[in-house]
Amino acid sequence: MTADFDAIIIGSGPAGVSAAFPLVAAGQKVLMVDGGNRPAGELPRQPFLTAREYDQEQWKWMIGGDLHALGMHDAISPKMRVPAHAKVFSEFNAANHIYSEDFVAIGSLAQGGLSNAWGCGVARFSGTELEAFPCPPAELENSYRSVAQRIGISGPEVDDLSDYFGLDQWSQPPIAMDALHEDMYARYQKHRQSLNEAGFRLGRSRIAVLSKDLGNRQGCNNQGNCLYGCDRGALYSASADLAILKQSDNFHHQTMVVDALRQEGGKWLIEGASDKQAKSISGSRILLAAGTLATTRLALNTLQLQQSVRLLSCPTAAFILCLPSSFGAARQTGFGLGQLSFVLSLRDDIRALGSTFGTSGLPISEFAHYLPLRRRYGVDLLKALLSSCVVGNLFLPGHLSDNHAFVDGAGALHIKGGFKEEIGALLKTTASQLRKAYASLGAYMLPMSFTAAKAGADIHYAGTLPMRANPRRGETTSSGELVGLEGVYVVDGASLPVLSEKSHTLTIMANAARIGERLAVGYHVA
Amino acid sequence: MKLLITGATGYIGTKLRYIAKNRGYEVICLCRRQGAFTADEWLHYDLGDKVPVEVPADAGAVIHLAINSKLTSESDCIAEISAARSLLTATLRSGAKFIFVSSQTANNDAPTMYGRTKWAIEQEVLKAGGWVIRPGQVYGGDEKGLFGILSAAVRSLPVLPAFLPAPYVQPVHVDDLANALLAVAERNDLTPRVFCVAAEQPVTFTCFLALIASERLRVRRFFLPVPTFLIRVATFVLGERVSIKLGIERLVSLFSLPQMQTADDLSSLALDLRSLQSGMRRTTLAGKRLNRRFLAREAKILLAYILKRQPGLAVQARYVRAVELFRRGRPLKLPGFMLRSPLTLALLDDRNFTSSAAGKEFLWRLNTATILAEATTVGAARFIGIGEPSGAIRYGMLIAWSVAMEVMWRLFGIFWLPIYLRRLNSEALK
Repeated sequence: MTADFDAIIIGSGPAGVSAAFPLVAAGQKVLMVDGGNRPAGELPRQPFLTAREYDQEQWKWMIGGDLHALGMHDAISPKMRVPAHAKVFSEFNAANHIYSEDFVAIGSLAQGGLSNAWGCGVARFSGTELEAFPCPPAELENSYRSVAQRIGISGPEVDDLSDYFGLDQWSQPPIAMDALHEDMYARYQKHRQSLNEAGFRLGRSRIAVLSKDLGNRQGCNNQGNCLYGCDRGALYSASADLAILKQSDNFHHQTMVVDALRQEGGKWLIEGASDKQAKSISGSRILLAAGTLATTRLALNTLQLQQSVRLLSCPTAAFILCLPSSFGAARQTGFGLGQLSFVLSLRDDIRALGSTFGTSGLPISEFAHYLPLRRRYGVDLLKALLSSCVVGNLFLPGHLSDNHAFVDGAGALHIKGGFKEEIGALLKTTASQLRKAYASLGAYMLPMSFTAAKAGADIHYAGTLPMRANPRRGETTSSGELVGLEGVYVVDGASLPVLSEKSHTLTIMANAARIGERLAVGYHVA
Repeated sequence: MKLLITGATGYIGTKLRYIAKNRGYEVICLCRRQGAFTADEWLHYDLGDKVPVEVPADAGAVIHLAINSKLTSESDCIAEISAARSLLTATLRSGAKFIFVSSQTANNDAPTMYGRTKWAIEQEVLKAGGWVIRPGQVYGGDEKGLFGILSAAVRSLPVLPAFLPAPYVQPVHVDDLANALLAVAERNDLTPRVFCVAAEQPVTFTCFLALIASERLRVRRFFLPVPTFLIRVATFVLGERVSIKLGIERLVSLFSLPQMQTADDLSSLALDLRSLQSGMRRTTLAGKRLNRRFLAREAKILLAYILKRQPGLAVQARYVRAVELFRRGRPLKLPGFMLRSPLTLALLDDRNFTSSAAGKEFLWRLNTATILAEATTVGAARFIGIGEPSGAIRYGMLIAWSVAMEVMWRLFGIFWLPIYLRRLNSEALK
C-alpha cells in the first residue's frame, strides 16, 4: 500500500511553510497539519493615536469583546494580552502535554504559529556561527536569500551592523524612525568611534516588516498599531504563506494536533485528534515543524528516549531609557517594533544584541503596576515621562542557558529552566556598559528599570535535537533526519546545533527551506 | 453513585439533595411522606418505624440527617438512638458507607439532651466503622432550621440581645457543609472518624446576628446587652420541658459550646470555606441585583480614582462584567467614606496593603480598573495626554506633583495604616 501523502508537515509556522514551498514546487503531494486556531478579534482600523482619541469602541481591540486581557493579568508579555492574539497562544501546553518549572513555555496552535505575534527581528548567522552546522554553508546561503526575498525584510543599505546582520542585499528600504530614535542615532554618529572602541555598535533594526508592498501585503505606513494588529499585513506572518501554499493542488491542509508517530509497513502514520475525533494519516516522510517544544516531545516519545536533553534559549532582559532632550514632547504615532539595534561585545565569544522601541503604542497599564507609586500618581508620572522614553530589550547567546527537557513515562514533556552561573555577572556588566553607552547618546537608563527575565521568556527555543556531522540517537543528520527514525525530519528550531544572541527565526526558516530543497530532489545522505 | 439521605426535606437535607443531584448523584430521600418525590427518588422512612428500612444493595452511602430536634424525655432519646442503630445496621448489611451528621454540642455531659443523644449515636457509628460530621453553626441558603429562626428574629425584632459574656459560634455555610458530606461519601482515602466542619476562628454570636442583619437582610439593628445568667435563671424557673418547647434550651446550649479545632479536618477534606460575609449574602435574584448595585458603585469609585473624573457608564458596566466574569461577581466591602470620596482609595492603594494576602483582591480590581480606564477616549487623554497641551514645564510640574502627593500619602500612612488595617476585617476585602 502506498502512503496517503509523500510528505506530512506538522505545524504551519515559519519552519513548516518554508519547508513546504520546495516540496510543493517539486510536485510532491504534501499535507500540512496544525492546531487550527485562527487569530480572531478586532483590529484597530485607524492610525493608533487617532483611534485612541476618537474610537469609542477601542476597548474591543485593546482588551477584547470577551475582556480577554483582564483574564491574562499574569501573562509575561503585553502581546499575550492583545485580543487579536488570544487564539495564538491558547491551549498549546495542555494540548501538547508540556509542563515547565522555572521556565516560560510558550507555543501556538494557530495557523501560522507564533509568527502571528513575533517581534519580526531577522538576522543571518555568521560563518563562525554556522561552523557547527554539518551542511555546506552555500546551501544555507541560498536558502537565506530565497526566504528573505519571499517574506520581505526591511533595513538600511549600509550601517555599522551591516556585516553583523548580513541581509542588506535583500532588503527593502528601512521604515522611518520616530523623533527619539532619530535623535539618538544622530548623536551616535558623533560618538561613533569611541563607542565602537568600547564594543558598542548601533544600527537600524533588521525586521521582517515591509516598507513597500509585496504580493497581497501592503507596506508599513507608520500607523503605530504593531502591537494590536496591523490590518495592512506589513508584518510577516506564516499564515500569509499558508494562504499562498493552499493555491497549489498538491498541497493539502488539515486541523489536527498530533499526539504520536508510528511506523507501519514502510510508511509513517501520524495519530491525533481532529475535531475531537481520533484520526491517523500516513505519509512517506514526516517533517516536524511543530515548534521546538512540541517537536521535541514527539521525537523523544517516538524514539522512546527518556534521557534529558539540553534546551537552548537566550537569556533576556529589558530596560527603559529616558531622553531628557525630548522631555515634554507630545505623543507621536510611530513604528512599534525595533527601530534601532545595538550589539555589545562583552567578551571575545559573547555578545549581546538588543533593540529599542517607541512607547507610544504600548499601554501605560503595562508600566503602572511596577512603579512604587499609588496608581493615581503613577499614571500622572508615566503620562509626563513616557513620551520621552524608549524601551529596550537584549538577548545573550543560548549557550548561557541551562534548561533541560525530558519525557516522562506517560509521554508528557517536562522542562526545567535555568542559567549558567556566569549569567548574573554578565548581566551586571551588560547593564553598566549599556548605561554608559546610551548616556553618551543622551539617553539615560531609568533606575531599577533593567530587569532580567525568567528562562524561556525570550521564546527563542532551540537545539534539543541538533544536527551533527556524526549524529547519535536523539540527534539529526545534516538533512534534519532523526537518527533511529528513518524518514522523520526535524525542520524547526529543535534541529539548530547552536543558538547565538541573534533572532533565530530567519535561520530556522532558511534551514527548513534547505531541508525541503534536499527532500524535493530526492537527496539522500549515505 | 447512589446516595440515600434521611431528613432530606430539612434545612441541610434540601440543599444537600440539590447539590448532589447537580453533581450527578442518584439521590434517594428517606422520609415519611412521598410528597413531590417520584417513586424512584423516595423510600418510606420514619424514625419511629419498628421495621428497619431496606437499604438498596447498590447504594454508595447513607447520610443520616434526620433527628427529632425537640427531645423532651429520656424515652425520646432512647428511641432516637435505636432508630439510628437500626439504620446503621441496615446500611452495614448493604455495604454502603454510613455518614452521621452530628452537632457541635455532642458531648457525654452536654447540658442538653440533644447534645447527649448526638454523642451516644456518634459512639455507635464510630464503633461500626462509620463517619461522623460535626458541623458548627450552619447558615446561608434558605431560611430554615436554626438559621431560619435567627433570621426571622433579626427581621422582626428592632432590638437584638447581645449576650454577656459573649458566646462564640463557628459558622459553616450550608453549601460548604454539603460539599464536606459529599467529599466523605466520594473519597476512599478518609478513615472513619469525627470530622469537625466549621470556621477555624469562632465569632461572637452577636457578630453572627449583626451579619445576618447587615449582609443578608440589609437592615440596621441595635443590640441590647443581656447577661446570660438571666436566661439560665429563666430555664430554672420554667423547668426543662417548657424551656425546650420555647427553644430556650437551645440558647443555653449555645452558651457552653466547646470550641472545635477544625483546621486539620478542613484540610484533609480539601475544603476552603467561604468567608462569613460573602456566605451571608443572598444569591437570590434580588441578592444578585443588590450585588450588582454594589459593584456598580465600586466601579464608579475605582475608575474615578484612576481617571480623576467621573467615569462613563459604559466603562463602569465593563468593570462590573469583568468582576462577574473573573471574580464570581462579589463586591469588595469598602468602608463608607471611601465610597463617598474616591481619593481616599489612596489609603488602600499602598504597597504594604496590596502586597498582603488581604490586599491581593483589591490589587486585582485596581489593575482591572486601570486597564479598563485606559482603553477609553477619556483614558487616552488621562494616560497619554491626547488632545491635551504638553510641554516640558507642564510635564515637569505633573511629575513634581505626583511625587509630592505620593510622599504626602506615605507620611499619612505611617500614622493611619497600622490603626486602620488592624481594625479592618481582613475578610471584608477578600
